[in-house]
Amino acid sequence: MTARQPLLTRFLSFVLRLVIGGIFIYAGVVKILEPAQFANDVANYRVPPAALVNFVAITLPWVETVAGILMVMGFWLPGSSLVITGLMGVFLAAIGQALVRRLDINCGCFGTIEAGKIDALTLARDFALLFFAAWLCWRASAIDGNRGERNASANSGN
Amino acid sequence: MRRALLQAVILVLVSTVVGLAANALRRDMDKTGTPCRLPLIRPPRLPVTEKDRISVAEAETLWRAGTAFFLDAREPSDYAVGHIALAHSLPVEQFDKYFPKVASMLSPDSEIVVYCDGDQCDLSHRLMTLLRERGGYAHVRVLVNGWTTWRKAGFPTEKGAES
Repeated sequence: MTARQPLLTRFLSFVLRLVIGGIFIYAGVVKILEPAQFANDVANYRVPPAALVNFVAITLPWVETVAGILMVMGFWLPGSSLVITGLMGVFLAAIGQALVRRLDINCGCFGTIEAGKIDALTLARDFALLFFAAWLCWRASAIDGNRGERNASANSGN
Repeated sequence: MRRALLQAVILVLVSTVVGLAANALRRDMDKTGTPCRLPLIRPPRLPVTEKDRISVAEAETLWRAGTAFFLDAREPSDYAVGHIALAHSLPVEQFDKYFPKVASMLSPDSEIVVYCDGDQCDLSHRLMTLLRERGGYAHVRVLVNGWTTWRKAGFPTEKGAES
């Protein structure tokens, strides 16, 4: 199956892996460097209960960073792309509810590097990332599934 | 798909453990001098009674009369992006560093308005407590969600770092 993938699809997948994985590594590391600021940003979304805000601020950047590293390396691609797709879904929901509630808050997406307020553009950017991450996830799982079938056929002697 | 789910669960669990361990072990400060190690449970916000608050209308009256000092409790980088006109920067996370300069402009009877940004921001509440307890200033009030409220009301603002 892998060999039969068109060259363009494989190239696109490679580029997307580097770009999305790179964005996640960057976003994770800047938050790890400024956890107190990120905790304030998380609190401003008013989504997690106040007591859980620090837990989210401590652990989320590491999940982002590790998932990003794995995606760039192409290791555990089904899992890393699934985590990134899931995170993009969570971020979109958080930003969407904040916009609906008309909260005038910082994105916190890239720590203080991008100290911009959330707006429709943030939503559009995250939708694009969600779409491409989901595509990578679907593709990685399909390749993985086909590989599994091939191995099963080989083992049964067919 | 089952394999993807399994990998995802392991990835999240391992990263969470690494994150918690790193938080427990780190002793560094971020670029604003705030400790990077966070308490696992966020301390509850300091309570603000009604008499600790000032409305944006009253704050503006004091501002126009020039009878109150406005102190910005946020990070200097946020202050530089924009702040209430004539407000001074006193980032609560670096209180000891910035306080002496601000103190030289204040007297014990000074009327002080402190603010930060966002309903959930408690930097101004903490600054009010520090000013009362460590500075002995009695007339300190919080303009809740100050930067946004002031800006949206169309009152004077300015940009740039504290000179």
